[in-house]
Amino acid sequence: MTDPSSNAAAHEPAPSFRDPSGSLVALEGRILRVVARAGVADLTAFLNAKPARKFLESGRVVGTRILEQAEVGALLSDAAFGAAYQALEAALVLEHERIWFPSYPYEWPPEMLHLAAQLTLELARELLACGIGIKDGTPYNVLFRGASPVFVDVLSFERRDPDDPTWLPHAQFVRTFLLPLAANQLFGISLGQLLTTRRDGLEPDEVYRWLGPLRRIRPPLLSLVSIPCWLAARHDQDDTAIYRKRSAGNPEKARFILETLLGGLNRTLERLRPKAGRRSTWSDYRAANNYSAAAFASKEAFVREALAEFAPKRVLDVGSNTGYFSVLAARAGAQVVAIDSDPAVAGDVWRAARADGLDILPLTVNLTRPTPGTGWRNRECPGFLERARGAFDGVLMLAVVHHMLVTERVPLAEILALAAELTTGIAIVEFIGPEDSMFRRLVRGREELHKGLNEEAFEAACRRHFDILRSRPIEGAHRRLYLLRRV
Amino acid sequence: MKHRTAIQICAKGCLSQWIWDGLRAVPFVLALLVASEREARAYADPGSGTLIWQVVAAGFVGLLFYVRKFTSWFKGRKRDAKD
Repeated sequence: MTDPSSNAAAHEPAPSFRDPSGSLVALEGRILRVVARAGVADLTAFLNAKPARKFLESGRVVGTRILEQAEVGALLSDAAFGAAYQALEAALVLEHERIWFPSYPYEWPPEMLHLAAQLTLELARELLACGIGIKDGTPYNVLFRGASPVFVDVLSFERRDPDDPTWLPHAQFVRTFLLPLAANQLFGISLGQLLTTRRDGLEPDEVYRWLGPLRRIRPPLLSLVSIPCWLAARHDQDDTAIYRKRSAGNPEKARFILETLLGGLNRTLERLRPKAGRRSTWSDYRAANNYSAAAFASKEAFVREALAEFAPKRVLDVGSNTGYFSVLAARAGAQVVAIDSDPAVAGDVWRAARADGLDILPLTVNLTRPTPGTGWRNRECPGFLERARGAFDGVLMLAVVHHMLVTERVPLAEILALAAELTTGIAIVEFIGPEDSMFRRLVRGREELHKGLNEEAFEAACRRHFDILRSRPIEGAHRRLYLLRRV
Repeated sequence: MKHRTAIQICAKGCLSQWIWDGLRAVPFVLALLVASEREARAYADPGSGTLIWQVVAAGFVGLLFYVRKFTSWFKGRKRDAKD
């Protein structure tokens, strides 16, 4: 089996370009950050601050090492790295820990956006005492290592003017964290719908139009949405006086104002905490399936044996539902990415992983319509498939193929071809025949479309990409489990 | 039972009265703002309203800072007097 990490270089993100004080370059699986001379003093102040060291040691800020000059010299022969180094007239190069599977806010269940917001506020509050401020308040500063957030942009920090009582990232924090969480809580709109096309989050004006008269004056929307809208509407946009630097005239007073503001944001964030046990179309799916207890135990044993035998290091669980098999894979020692189209069940998986400290990254992704590449040239945040191709040595497709076949009308050959692109090792796939009660429920009178579908046809499609190592029928259902290995 | 000096009672009374008056004015200010609501325009900064609101709130919190200083100064004086 090929180590999936060896494929990392094949889907490197493009170098970052937004921050003038530095640029991120991915090089042969390494994550390097080139820092311009202008950014060095702020970076050094941050790295030497006591709270920063605590966050670095606990892994809540990404692992960071300053490269020696000799190491930098050896890297300069690479064209992309050399170009970034020259363009920035770099003074320093950092190497960061690689977060093996990057994910973006529009793929997270709301629980993860909430936790990323908490981490951002916690950093802002703790660093305030050391005279360090945070320049931007966006979830793109955070990635997830399993179910835990990691602040990855170490150039987001600066030495602050001790007299300045303004928290400049406030509006961005509201737009990218608080308003999406509020819209999700109030209207049930998923973060995918809200954030895939809105890199800078939701504007108060937009949310204001969605609110009725009573909601407009109810906290926290009154201060997050309505008052800013009313004030902005009355403000002359050519008047730039509001952007001038402010001084409280007293560092103690400025710090008190900022601590009060950050404390208030933290309380608002607490009100927007996603509730556990949200019900959705798929939240009761596992309980409502057509297996007997014995049949389910037999399915579990099949998956468990395969995981024990091949010990995949990185597993993608497609259609994870509440994550029963993701947990099984994580307990067997794999790093798991669990995808499901339903944010409520992805949230449940996150809670389970977080509670038990399991290495599972739950994402709201529908494999038949995967997350596209976003940002400049669609390359700032690569699409899901670009990140996932060859990144796994184990793929689970349990009780999901019939949804792709029937509901999404994806041909069987296509589904298995994609499975083969995703895994470098094994795939455990559950075949569900047209006679199965769940399959019939989905077909709803369109049986003609699937008349040629049977175990023989499924096996023939598998053999184009995989060896069939073994299979086992599930008693009492028209289903069969297959253990496949990439040819 | 705690005893307050006449100055403390007077100072606290005046301040709380001032804060209450401020709070009672809030609905009228809001009504005025709603009545004068306008459509957002092109080139408008989506963060300008939030920034103005932050500056206004910072003004109030700045006052609270002096209230805190004032009360802790009186508490300190009272402790010194006891000692």
